[in-house]
Amino acid sequence: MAAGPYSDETLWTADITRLVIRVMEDVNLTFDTLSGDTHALNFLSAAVIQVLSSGKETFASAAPRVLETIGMEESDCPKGLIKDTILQLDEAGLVIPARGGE
Amino acid sequence: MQKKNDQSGTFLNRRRQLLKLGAAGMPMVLTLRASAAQAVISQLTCVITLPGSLKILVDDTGAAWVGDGSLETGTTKGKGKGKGKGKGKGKGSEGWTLESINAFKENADFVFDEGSVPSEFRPDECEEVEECSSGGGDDDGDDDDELLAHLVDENGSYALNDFLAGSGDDDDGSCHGHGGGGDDDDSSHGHDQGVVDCGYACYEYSSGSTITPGDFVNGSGFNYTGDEGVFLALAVSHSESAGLNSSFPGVSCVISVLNFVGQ
Repeated sequence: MAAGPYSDETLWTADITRLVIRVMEDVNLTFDTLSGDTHALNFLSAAVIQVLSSGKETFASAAPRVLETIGMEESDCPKGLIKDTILQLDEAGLVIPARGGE
Repeated sequence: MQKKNDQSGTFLNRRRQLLKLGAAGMPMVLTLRASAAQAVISQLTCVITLPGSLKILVDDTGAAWVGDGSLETGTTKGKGKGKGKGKGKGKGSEGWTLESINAFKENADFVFDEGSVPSEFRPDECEEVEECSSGGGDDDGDDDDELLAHLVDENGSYALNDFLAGSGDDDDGSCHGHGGGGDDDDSSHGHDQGVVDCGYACYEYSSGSTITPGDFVNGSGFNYTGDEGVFLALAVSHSESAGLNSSFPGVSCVISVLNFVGQ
């Protein structure tokens, strides 16, 4: 994991000011000006970035906001998938733990 | 960021299927990274394709002339002295005519100074004066007096300076000196009957030939080998002096490789 130790209480955030995003159908091509990498985000990972960029969230607190953003129910998008997506974004350097290691 | 567009059943079903794949382990994020490995490959795999046939004429000082002119072959009457490298020219009494060599030099597209060509690609120097014939003869029994007599002009003065400098205007088959190195003067090389059989080597490349500089890279830079090594050595030399503005074929490719190896 790129960001090191984390827990369920870890707060996550995203800085979209450094991202250049172009929406192509249901794919968000995201260029990270900090790393120079380009990422292809699907609607879920893009929604996670959007939610975390507006405030610090834990896995649990982020889930309902993400579901609201994508307009789907937990039966369609389990919380575990949202958590996995946050961790994948962490590995890609697109989200950061606001308070890590608890 | 999130599109608030089509919320039709088909659209949602597509998204649900995608989420199922995500739950099954499919990544939700794909990173398109310009990896170091890819950069290495792109820098090293460029290929030089020669737009036309090309000759590189190299002399024993490491100077070179690059062009597409022709070199006419001829035969000397004197002893063969050359040990030229390259395409087998310069051996025995077979050589190139002085006239064609001069024409090639004059019409060369690129000229490189002495030392530009690595020593392993240079021909051996021509041998000594005594092997030259006077007046086109083959009387190699000249003694010093005869040699001096040859150097005395019609006014009775010594033409020794001309001899040493290789003035090059006596193309009647007489002996030419060896002292004119560095002035691109043909007379710095031994020749007989207007034919030069030593001191030059020629490397030829046909139109469309491809050279991959990356194949010649070792840990410290280029390892010049084979006929292609001559071309590469000159391309590197030209890139150092002219950079990307150089019109020498393949310079941009060579610079790419040089950048990779950090030179």
